[in-house]
Order: sequence, then structure tokens, then C-alpha cells
Amino acid sequence: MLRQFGIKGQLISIVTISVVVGIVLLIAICIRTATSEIDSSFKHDMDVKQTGFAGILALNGEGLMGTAAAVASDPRLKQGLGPAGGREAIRPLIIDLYAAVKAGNSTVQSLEVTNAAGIVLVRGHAPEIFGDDKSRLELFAGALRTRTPQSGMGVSLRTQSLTLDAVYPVMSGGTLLGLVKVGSYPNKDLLIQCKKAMGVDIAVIDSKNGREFGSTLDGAGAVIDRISTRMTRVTLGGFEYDAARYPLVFKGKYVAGGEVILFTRTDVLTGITRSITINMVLAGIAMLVAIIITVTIFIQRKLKPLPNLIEAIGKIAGGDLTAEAIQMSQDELGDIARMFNGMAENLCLVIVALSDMTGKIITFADELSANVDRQSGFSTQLSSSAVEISSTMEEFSSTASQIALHSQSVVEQADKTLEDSKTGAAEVENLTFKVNDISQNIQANLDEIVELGKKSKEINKVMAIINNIANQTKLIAFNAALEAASAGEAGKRFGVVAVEIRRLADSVVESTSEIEGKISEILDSVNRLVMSSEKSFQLTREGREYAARTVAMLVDSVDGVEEITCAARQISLSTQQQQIASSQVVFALKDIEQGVRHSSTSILHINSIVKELVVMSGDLKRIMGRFNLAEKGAP
Amino acid sequence: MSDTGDTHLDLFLFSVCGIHFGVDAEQVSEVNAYLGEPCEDLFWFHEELGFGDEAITYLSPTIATIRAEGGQSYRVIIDVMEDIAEIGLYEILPFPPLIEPFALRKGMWGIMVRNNRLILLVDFKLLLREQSHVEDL
Repeated sequence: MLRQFGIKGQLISIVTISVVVGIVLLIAICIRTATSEIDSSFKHDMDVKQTGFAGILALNGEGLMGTAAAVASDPRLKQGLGPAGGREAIRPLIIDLYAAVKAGNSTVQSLEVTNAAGIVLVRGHAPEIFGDDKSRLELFAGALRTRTPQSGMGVSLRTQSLTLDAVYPVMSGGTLLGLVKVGSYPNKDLLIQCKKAMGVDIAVIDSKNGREFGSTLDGAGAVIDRISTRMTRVTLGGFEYDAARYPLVFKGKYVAGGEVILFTRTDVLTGITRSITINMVLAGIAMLVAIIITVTIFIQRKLKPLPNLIEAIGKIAGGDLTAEAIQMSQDELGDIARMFNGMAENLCLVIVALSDMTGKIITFADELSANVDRQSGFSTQLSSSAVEISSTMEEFSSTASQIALHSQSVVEQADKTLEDSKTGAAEVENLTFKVNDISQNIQANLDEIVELGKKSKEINKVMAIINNIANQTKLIAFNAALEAASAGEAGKRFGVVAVEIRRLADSVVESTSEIEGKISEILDSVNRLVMSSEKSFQLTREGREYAARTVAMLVDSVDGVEEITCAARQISLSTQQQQIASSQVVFALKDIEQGVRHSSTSILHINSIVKELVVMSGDLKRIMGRFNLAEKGAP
Repeated sequence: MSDTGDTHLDLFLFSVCGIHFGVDAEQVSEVNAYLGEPCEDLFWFHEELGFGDEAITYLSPTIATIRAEGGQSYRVIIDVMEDIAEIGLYEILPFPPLIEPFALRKGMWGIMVRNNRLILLVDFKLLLREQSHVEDL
């Protein structure tokens, strides 16, 4: 789905989603942790407050102890408990002291004085009741045994309330005179004071039946059953409270049968949690926005070279090898751009080299095709030539047989030729004599022709004289014509004659010119004839010499013919051997012819392969032509 | 001028250096062959007509004797004699007005076409008068 946004959009989206999820999880964990911590802190706070409540109780105990000490130190009491005193002696005193103590502390509910054996002498709050033995009670027994002050908290079965008692010994010179016991009921006022001090509502209950001894909340007893020692949420009076149940402790000791419950309004906790949640969410949103902006800027800056790189890759994909990616950064994209440029340059070099190789392949393939065609033609010619040679050799073989047959007749013919040569030598000698006669005749003709040339030159002289006469005649004719013209009508007829004479003179001049031309031609012919005759004479003389040589040669040839006769016999034998060799050659030629046919078939197959190679080279060249190399310095 | 009924004229036709000229046959008393003899009263036609300073070669130099006024003779060397012909006056054309004064000063008074050749008609008497006038000046 994110593909339509590109890598940049995908990265931003993924990072945004991751950051949102992370921040939400972080916020949730933080809120959870904060809530848990708040709960834990609240529980701890409740524990502390419970301890504080115990402390307040202890302080009350100490205060009560002080009150008891004050009563026990009264000298009138010591005197009344002495040997001279008695119950009656101290009764009014105790009643007065009770009234005074109660006035100072409203929680004080009782004041008792016993003798040294623990027998109650006087009760300030109930003077009519006395004489009962308290020595077995814990506080009284402790004080009697240790003679030290004792305090304690307990549950009054009589009043069904919580009691706080202090027993203080009355001493006189090291002698125990009796015990003073001050008792109080920790009432609602004490709890209200504690609430003010600690900020929590407090309820003190009976651990056995859950009955409420005292509480700062109305109706707390109704929900006590649902509260455990763990933090429990309860609704009371329209409000939610987190409540915890603790054992009642007084001076480090559990008070049997008593428990205390602390209440805290949940809206405080909810407010804190809500505030923390809101702050966390706001912080998370701010963090999210900051992270998204930072990541977006980072991705934008980091992916800035990407469009240029995509454009360059697109150009390369389209065949434009001049494309170059700009290296905008030194990171991985910069490395990619640099490596891409290197790859493009290498590709360009490869394409250029491939293009050159393709051109060479095409050239070589064309040349190979032409050579194969020529070779095919040669092979065909060779095949036909082999066939022809084979047939010729067969004919040659049969001819050799015939030659062998006719060699004998050649020998006979050679004998006859010997005789004929002798006859020819005699005839050639006669021919030499005839050639001598012809040579003499040519020499005579040559002399005559030279004489003819001389006479032709004399004719030229005569023609010059005639020409001169004709010119003078022409002048005379012109003068006659001029005279005739000046004579007017009378000289007109004479003028006609003059004109005719002038024309005649002109004709004579033209004729003499023509004669001169003809004579020149005759002279040229004579010269050529003289030269030809001289050449003929020379040739005749050479012919005579050749004839003499021929006679000598014919005489010599007689011996040669005899040798020829012997050679003809030898030829006859050799021809028979040649016949056998020719048969072997014929068989060899047939094998060659078969091989040439196989070679022709192979060449045709090679030719078809070469043509396919030419077509493939053309296809490869067209493919190479798709790439643009112009700005790369490619050829 | 040899008047043949006022409609024809006898012209002595010759050429000098390939240029064809014609003169009234009545002005020429005779012609003779020039054999190279020196003579003071012998003039070369090309010099009289003012062909310029170029070297002129005569193929067949001939002396034409001109009848001059006062019984004096005037001899001029011409080149090839061609014909003595009777031509009609209607065949003679005057020079264009632009060059006619110059032609008259050189003794040329008309032109005609014969056998596809342009022939310049020369009046030797007019030429002599013009030369005399120049010498007087």
C-alpha cells in the first residue's frame, strides 16, 4: 500500500508509525509505571500514615502516662497511701484529681488507685466501686513486678470500645505504696486530629466482628467487610476511596482485637494520574512531532540524491549511456551514485568495445561470406575441373594406348622423314639461287625509281613557270578589266573577255596547284617505294642467308631424324608405362573429385552459417545503436 | 565613278590582311605585281588607311595605280586582288551616323555585303584630299 509513496514516503510513514507505536507504548508503560508507582507510593504513604497514627497513639499513651505520673507524684496521695492513711483518706483527693485530669483531657475516662498489692482502693470515676484485685492484669502486674510505669491499649469488653491505660507506681523512698492507673477512650476527636495531621480518613474496628470503634467517615462500618490488607477501592458517601486495613499497633505491639483502616479519596489519585497522563501524552505528542520533523528532514536530506539517481538510472535503462548521477553526499547514496557512474562508464566502455567488435565482426563476416562465396565458386570449379581432368585423364589413358600402338608407325615415318630431309636440302639450295636473281632485279628497279623522283622535281620547276605565267595573265586580265570599266559601255564587251581571261588564269593557277600537289604525292610515293625496295633488297639478302643456313640445318637434321627414330622407339615403351600411370592417376582423381564434393557441401554449410552470422551481427549492431554514447567520447 | 545607268557601279575588290575593300574601278588605272622595288611615291594601303603599328604581312602584294587629279598618279600597294564586279547601288549602305565622320576622314564612304562578306568601300580621291588637308594643317 505504501509503494505509491516511494521510498521517501515509505520511510517517513514507517518511521512515523514506529515512532507513534513506540511513543504510545512508552506512554502506556510510563502511565502504567507511574500508576503503579503512585499506587505503591500511595500504599507506602498509607503505611507511613499508619505508622504515624500508631505514633499519635503512642504520644497519647505518653501523655496519659504523664497524667498518671502527675497524680502519682502528688504528696497527698503518698501520704494517704502511707501507714497513716487509708481508702477514706484518699477518696476525696482522687475524686478531685479525676475531675481535674478529665478537665485537662477529655478522653480520660477513669482514674484508679490501688495499694501495693494491686487491690483497688478508690476509683475517681466510680468511687462506690472498690476492693477488686487488679494484680493479675498485665499492666498492673508489670508495674508491681518491675515498679516501672506501664501503658497499654486494649479493647474494653465492657464498653465495647478501645481503651488506653497508663499505670504508674507510687513510690516513697524506694517503697512501693501503690499504683495509679489512668484510662482513656480514644474517641472521634482523636481520629479527627489524626485526619488533619495525616490527610486521611481513619476508622478503628474490632478485628473479630468488624464493628466500628470509631471513624472519621460516616458509614465506614458498612464497607469494612470489603476492605482487605491490600489497597481496596470502595465507594462511600458518593465518593471513591482507596482503603487499606492495618493491625492496630501501640508501642510496637499489636493490640489484640483491634484494627485500623485508612481511607484516601481516589479523586486525588485520579487527578494526579490524569495530570501525569496528560503531561505524558503532551510530551509524547511533542516528542512525536519533533521526531517526525527530525526524521522527515533527515530522510529528505539523506534521500535528496535519490531522484537524480533514479533519473540517471532511468536514462541508462532507456539506453542513454551519457547519463551521470550527481554525487551529492558521502554516504551510501553517494557511494551508490559513484559506483553507478563507474558502472555506467564501464558499461559505456563495454558498449563501445562491443560496438567496435560488432563492426569488425560485420566486416569480417562480410569478408568471410565473400571469401566463402568465392571458395564455393572455386570449389565448384575445382569439382568440375576434377571431373574434367578425370575424364581427360581417361581419354589421356586411352590416347596413351593409341600412342603406344602408333609409335611403331612413327618410327617408320621418321625413316621417311630422313629421306625427305635430304631431298628438302637440295630444293632449298636451288631456292637460294632464285633469291639471288630476285635481289638483282630489285636493285635495278630501285635505280629506276630514283630516276623517276628526279624527273618529278623537274616537273615542279616547269609548274612554277606556268604558275608565274598564269599570275601575269591574271594581272593583265585585271588591267584589261579596269580599262574596260573605264571605257564605259564601249569597253563592256572587252571587259567580258578580260573577265574570262582572268578566270582562265585563275583556273590555271588552281590547276597548277593541284598538279603541284599530285607531284608532291608522287614524290612521297617514290620515296616510300625507294625505302620499300631497299628494305625488300635487304630482306632478299637476308632470305638468301637464311636459305644457306637452312641447307646446313637440313643436313644436320638428317642425323637428328635418325636420333628421333631411336627416340620414337623409346617413346613407345614410355607410353606404355604412361598408360599404366594414367590409370592410377584416374583413380586418384576420382578420389579427389569425391573429396571436392564433400568440401563443396561443407562450404555451402559454412556459407549459410556465415550468412546467419552476418544477420546476427546486424542485429547486434542495431542493439548497440540503441545506446547513446555521444557525451562519452565514444566513436 | 563608273556610272552604268545610275543604278550600277563597277567595283575593284581586293583584300588587305583579310579585310575586304572595294574601290570604284574608274579610280584604278592599272595594277602591277610588286617585286620589292623601293620607290618614294609607293604607299602601303594599311599605312594610308591607318591600320595601326602592327606588323602586316601581304600574301600577294600588288601595286594599284590610282588616277589622281591634275594628271598625277598615286600608287598604293594592296594585297590580294579578288574581282571586278558590277553591283547595284541599292546594295550600298551608308555608315551609321555615329562613325560616319571618322570613316569619311579615312576615305571610306559606304559598306556592302557580298557573298556573306562585309566590304568597305574606299574613295582614294577622298582619302588623298583628307591627307592633303592634314599635311596643310
